[in-house]
Amino acid sequence: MNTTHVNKRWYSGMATQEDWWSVWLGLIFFTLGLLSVTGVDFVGWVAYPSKWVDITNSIGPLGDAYQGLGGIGSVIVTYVMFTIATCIGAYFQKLNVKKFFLGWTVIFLITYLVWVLAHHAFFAANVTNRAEYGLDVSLSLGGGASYIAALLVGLIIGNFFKGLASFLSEAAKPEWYIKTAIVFLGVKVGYMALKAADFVFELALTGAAATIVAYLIFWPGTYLIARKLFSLPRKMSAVLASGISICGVSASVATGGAVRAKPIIPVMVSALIVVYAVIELVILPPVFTGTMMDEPIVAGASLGMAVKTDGADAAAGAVLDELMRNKKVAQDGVQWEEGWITTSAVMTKIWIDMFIGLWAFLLAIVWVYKIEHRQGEKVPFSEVWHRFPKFVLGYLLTWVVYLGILFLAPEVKSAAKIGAMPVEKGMRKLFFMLTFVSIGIITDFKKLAEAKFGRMVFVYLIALFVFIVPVAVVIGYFFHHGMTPPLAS
Amino acid sequence: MIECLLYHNGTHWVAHNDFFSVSGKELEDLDRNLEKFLQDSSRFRGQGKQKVFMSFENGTIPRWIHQYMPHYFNRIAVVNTDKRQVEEA
Repeated sequence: MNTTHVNKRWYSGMATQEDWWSVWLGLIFFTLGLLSVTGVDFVGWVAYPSKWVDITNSIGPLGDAYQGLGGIGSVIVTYVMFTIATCIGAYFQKLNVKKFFLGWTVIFLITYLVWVLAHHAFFAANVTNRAEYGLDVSLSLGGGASYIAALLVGLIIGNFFKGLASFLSEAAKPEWYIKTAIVFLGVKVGYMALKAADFVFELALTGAAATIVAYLIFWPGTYLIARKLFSLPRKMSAVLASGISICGVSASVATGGAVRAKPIIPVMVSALIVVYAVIELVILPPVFTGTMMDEPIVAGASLGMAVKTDGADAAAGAVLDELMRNKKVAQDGVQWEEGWITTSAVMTKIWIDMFIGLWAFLLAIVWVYKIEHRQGEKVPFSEVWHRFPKFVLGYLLTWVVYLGILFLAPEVKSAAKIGAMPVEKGMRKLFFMLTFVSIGIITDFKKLAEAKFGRMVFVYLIALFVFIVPVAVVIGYFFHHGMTPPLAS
Repeated sequence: MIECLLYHNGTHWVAHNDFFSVSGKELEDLDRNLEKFLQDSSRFRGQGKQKVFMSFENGTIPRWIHQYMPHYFNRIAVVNTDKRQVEEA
């Protein structure tokens, strides 16, 4: 029997699945970063762009110990380190390693090129610092300019250079990259908690509560829209309801399995979801920035509930973070700390992701025993584990380790931060950028026009913008009202 | 416990291992055909009620989707390998 893609044991897929490889990749560099407590910085080589008007000052290594590398040197070292790590991952995932290597190289180069160019002070500087660059006018987009540009470049490739997109597809893995970035984010949340432990705790708790409320409102509402307004078949409605209302592709596939749908149904729904997720990613951050400046955490958490796929949600959270923080500075001269709005979007999403296994298990029980009355079938409980998002384990581990160091071993706090910063800042944002480019590359808007989607396109449109997004904002307001990010130090 | 793999070939569900390959348009058909096969098989018949653990071959799902969710579903069908013998007796 060929068991390459079979999940039978609890450890199945540990060496072969993207989800697990986001844990391994994240933990490798997290561990290297942690070694700074020994007094040696193993991760400060990561190349990170700065705002610039003189391109020779546009990029450099983050660690003091690696300043001698210079800009180009740090990019080369970053490329070598991550190429080795990702190609090993690609090998174990049984990807075409040669094709992955070539695609990765191109995506990496595009990513850094866009990242540097979009850090030109005209795009990135705001009212408080544009004078430092000799500018009277700037767009005040901060790092948001990089994210928007990366997505645009990816979308241009994905929609107008389809041969190139196909060539790059082996390495365009937005979920792998964003899950790795979320493991790195755990480092940041860990030591952010030192500053504002109450805030992190409240965010986690209210995020969980909001998630449960969202599940109980979104899913039945969307299911009813699909069934009653559009008369879609029962299984397709269930798969579509999960995809639109819970966590996108992962939920639609999990639900497809739970209701024993033929695989073509979640596959079709998934193709639709990835396109709509990008539409949300483009529309919602500027709309929320324009309308919810008084409630930044409500806005972030609402994204977590409304934007489907982890990649699009985290990416939308990162754009919102940049846009809102820069607007706040321009408006009031107040500088919120970077990362909290992104974290509110990601934390809500992670709760949603964690519940999907349990939700699909319960759905399978109801479907098999109550709806289809299959008395000769049993639903194994191991299904919950097989559908559990493993990257969450990496996220929680990095979070807890740094939290532990900061509270239990404060004497190594300063040394630990030297290794943490390149990971949570440089590597996290690099993997966000890789996610943006990759999402664009794999998104083909023409798919929306394909007739076979039929009514699903309209179910999605109406359910998302008339039902999910407004309700997400209301739930977000109810649980996160009044929370604002701590001020930057 | 009998273990086998499960996939969908576009029109039918197929359960197979080194000893059998059985298909059905719907899962109910598959279970019925599998039960009948086991009752007729000299290797499996006469073992009473048996659990058949079916692990879905996730390769059936396109590769690009695996990064989002690498698992479709596994299921256990309970089949009676004695039934035909009892009826015949």
